[in-house]
Amino acid sequence: MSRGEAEAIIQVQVEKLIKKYENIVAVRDLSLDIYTGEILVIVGPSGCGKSTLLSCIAGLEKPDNGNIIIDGEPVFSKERNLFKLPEERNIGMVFQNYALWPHKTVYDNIAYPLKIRNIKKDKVKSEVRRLLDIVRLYGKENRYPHELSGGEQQRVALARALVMNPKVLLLDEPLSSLDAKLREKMQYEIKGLQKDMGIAIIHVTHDQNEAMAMADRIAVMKDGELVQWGTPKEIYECPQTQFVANFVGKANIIDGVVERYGDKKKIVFAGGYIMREADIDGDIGSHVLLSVRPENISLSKDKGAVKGRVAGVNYRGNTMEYRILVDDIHLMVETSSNELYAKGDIVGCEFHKINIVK
Amino acid sequence: MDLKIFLRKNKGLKKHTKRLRSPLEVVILLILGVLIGSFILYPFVILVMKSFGLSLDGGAFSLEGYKRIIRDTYNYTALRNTLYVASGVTVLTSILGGALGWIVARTDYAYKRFTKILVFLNFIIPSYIVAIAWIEFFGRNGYLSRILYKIFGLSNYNMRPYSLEAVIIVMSVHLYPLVFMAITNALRKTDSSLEDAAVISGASRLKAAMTITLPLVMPSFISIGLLIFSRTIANFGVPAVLALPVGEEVLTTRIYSSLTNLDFQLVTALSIFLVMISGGIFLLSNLLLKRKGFTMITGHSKKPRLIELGKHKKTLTTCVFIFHILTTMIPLASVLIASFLKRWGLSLEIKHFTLNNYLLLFRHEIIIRAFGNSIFYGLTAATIAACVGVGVSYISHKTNIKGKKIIELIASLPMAFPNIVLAVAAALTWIKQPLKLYGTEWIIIVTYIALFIPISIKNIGGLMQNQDASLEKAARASGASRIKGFVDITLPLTMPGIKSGWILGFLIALREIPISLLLYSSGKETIGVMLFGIQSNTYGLEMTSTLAVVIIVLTVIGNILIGKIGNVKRGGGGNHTSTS
Repeated sequence: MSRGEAEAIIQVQVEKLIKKYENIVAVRDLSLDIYTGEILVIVGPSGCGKSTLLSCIAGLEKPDNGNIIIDGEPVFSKERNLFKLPEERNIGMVFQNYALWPHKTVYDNIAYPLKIRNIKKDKVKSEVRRLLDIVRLYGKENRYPHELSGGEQQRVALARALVMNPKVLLLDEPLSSLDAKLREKMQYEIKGLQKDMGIAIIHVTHDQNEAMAMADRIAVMKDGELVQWGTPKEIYECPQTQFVANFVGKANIIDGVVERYGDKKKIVFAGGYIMREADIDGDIGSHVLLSVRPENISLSKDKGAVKGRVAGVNYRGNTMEYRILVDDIHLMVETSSNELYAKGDIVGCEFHKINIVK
Repeated sequence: MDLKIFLRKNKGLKKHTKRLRSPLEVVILLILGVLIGSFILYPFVILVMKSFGLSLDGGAFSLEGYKRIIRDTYNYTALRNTLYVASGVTVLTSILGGALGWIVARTDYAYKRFTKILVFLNFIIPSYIVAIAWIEFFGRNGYLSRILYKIFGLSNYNMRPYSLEAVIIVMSVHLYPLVFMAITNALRKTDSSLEDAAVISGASRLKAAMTITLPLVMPSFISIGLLIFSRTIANFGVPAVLALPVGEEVLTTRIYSSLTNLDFQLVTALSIFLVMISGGIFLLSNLLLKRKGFTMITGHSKKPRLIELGKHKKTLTTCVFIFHILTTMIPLASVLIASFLKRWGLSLEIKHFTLNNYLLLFRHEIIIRAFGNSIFYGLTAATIAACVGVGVSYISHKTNIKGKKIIELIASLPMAFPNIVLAVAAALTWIKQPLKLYGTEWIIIVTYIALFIPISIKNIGGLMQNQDASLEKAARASGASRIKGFVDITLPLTMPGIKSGWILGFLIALREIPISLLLYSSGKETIGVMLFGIQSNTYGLEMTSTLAVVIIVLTVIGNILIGKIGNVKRGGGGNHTSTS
């Protein structure tokens, strides 16, 4: 789970955070560390509390319990009755709707954080110019936000968030209103910027593809709690719960039964084994939930202990997508496009990379 | 006029009428032209001509009327007073409505629904009734003097309830809801994340509000301020009852008193002058509203984050409650209590209370007739205005007839006219042949029509504009003729606007004073005339109050009905509900 680097410095530390709205608990007892120079993507369905968590870190919401430490300095502590206002935290934030001020030009939007701190005019000018260069908006400083394209607005918001050289940048679904192509481009740009500036980014999104593309680490949230966190690879390959398996990528969730296999155990499904020599705790005869990615099921005419019938075929260019009916369950299977089966064929399924999930 | 001759004369029209499929539509267009021409354009032209000393029978051109506005001390003072009152009301309502609007839109103040209801109540109570309540509370025989005497034994109460400042306060109590509504609306539209972004950037909450939110709501603030200014200028009832008795005049009361002197050129010049001020303001605010569009870039706006008042919550809530007591409760209570008094001026003891006023009110022949008249005038005018409104809206939203903008502009002209000016124009226009309506109820109805047409266009046009053109096209595609499509699809969808127009017509007729006061003749009295003139040797303020209570109750019911009909922007018709 750790980044495997001994010298990693914790940039933001969230401890046992609780935030309630009247009777609804938006964030429950959540702890999380963010390291310097990493992009942490918090992903989860809408209403899972991820934006609230971000607002608590920013100081826009006051948590009900716990601690938040930014750059070694406590900014919220229930015990010590400490709550630093957002303007005292020096963080950058990009909002979902960018929150660009419509009555200010690009220049004035970016210069605002500097001006509010009474920084000298020359310095303001040179800093804004520096940021305009970074986000490649030089020459558009006199435009108003509505005169810019979506991507440009996004970059203004980014420049404004970065102009004070914050140690932490918070991104609240800022890419969700861009079209798919532009979104991908911005993902690369933000990643590049982050590498150059070496800051920590906490990025909130409900889009798992975006999370995979950008994250050094992903934290999956559900109902105000962290359900799993780790590198994208860990999350994708070893989901620990049914929810994570389904939320990040596609997954087949299979109900298997533990049976004896010599002096070991095997897991059986629909009359055939899925997993032999399984190293699991379950008692003989107990049910376990398994998650298998569609690309980790291979089909063949003769092999495979679990038999099923092809119920649907979808050509996807580089891959084929099959629906295999086993008992009364449809399995999603993805194979390379040169393996061809027709609807109604009886096929055998072999399972690789299986995860037991809760 | 023969249709063919008409078409031959108007080549441009012919070209466009060609595009219309049925001759029926041409007829409708003609009827509209005649109605708008005779009820709006004709009186307007007469008014302008008279102000330059001209009339249909001739007369010599002169600027005498206008010169006298500046030269004559009376007129000049009235002008100065008008500007003083209007500025005072604009400032006071901005402060009251702005502060209350901010509290409701952006803080966690707890009694928002309650406040909204009271503000709306303030909005619909006719200003004239607030003025009556003012006198009942602050007058020499009023509640305040009695309370002071009872509690402190003060017998030398000498606060004068009549003054320009009283006009300012009463008008502000009546008009601050407009600012409140505009500001809560503007704040609701201003995404609170804009302010959050400023705070994240290092600004304090206060600084963020000043540098981000305030500039963004400023255009609405200014344009509503201008509306308040012109509404104050146009008001007749309040200065007539609160300033005229001590000899202070404003332009509207000056018009009224000059009319009783039959000084027509001055009257018309003053009227045109008043129209120019309020018309200019109207244009200015339209210009501002158009430019107001700082295009908001919004993705998904979240629910605004409410500012926690914390330890100030109690203080602020108390302040708001005191405000409501002063502006809504006391005026309502004053009128209500007075309506149960045997005679205004009696001390507030149980033995002096009675239900008799209400019984008397409904047995009083003239008052019953006045109710009947008001209802009849209001509904008749509202019906005709609705027809014109449907016609004009249809032309401007569903056809591409050239000059449709001009038709709409002329039809909306009365909006810039204070009621008393409409009355003056009507009096001068309909007093002699070819159409002598003076002395009949039709002069009032015709003027009400002019008053209602812009309201009806606003209500109905708004609904029609929002209808997708494809709806009627779908009817055509299903085999309906153009007219059938209109009758089956567009008209039913416009019905809420027409219905609420009827109720509004009824409500305005119930409270409107200057038009009927100037134009009524014996037997044609309206409720407005009664309200203004019932106080006499026979009856005191107690009867005025009784009538006022009935009007308030009917107004509340009417507005609830309008709310039920829904789909009609309150701002549209509501704006005019309280014009009197």
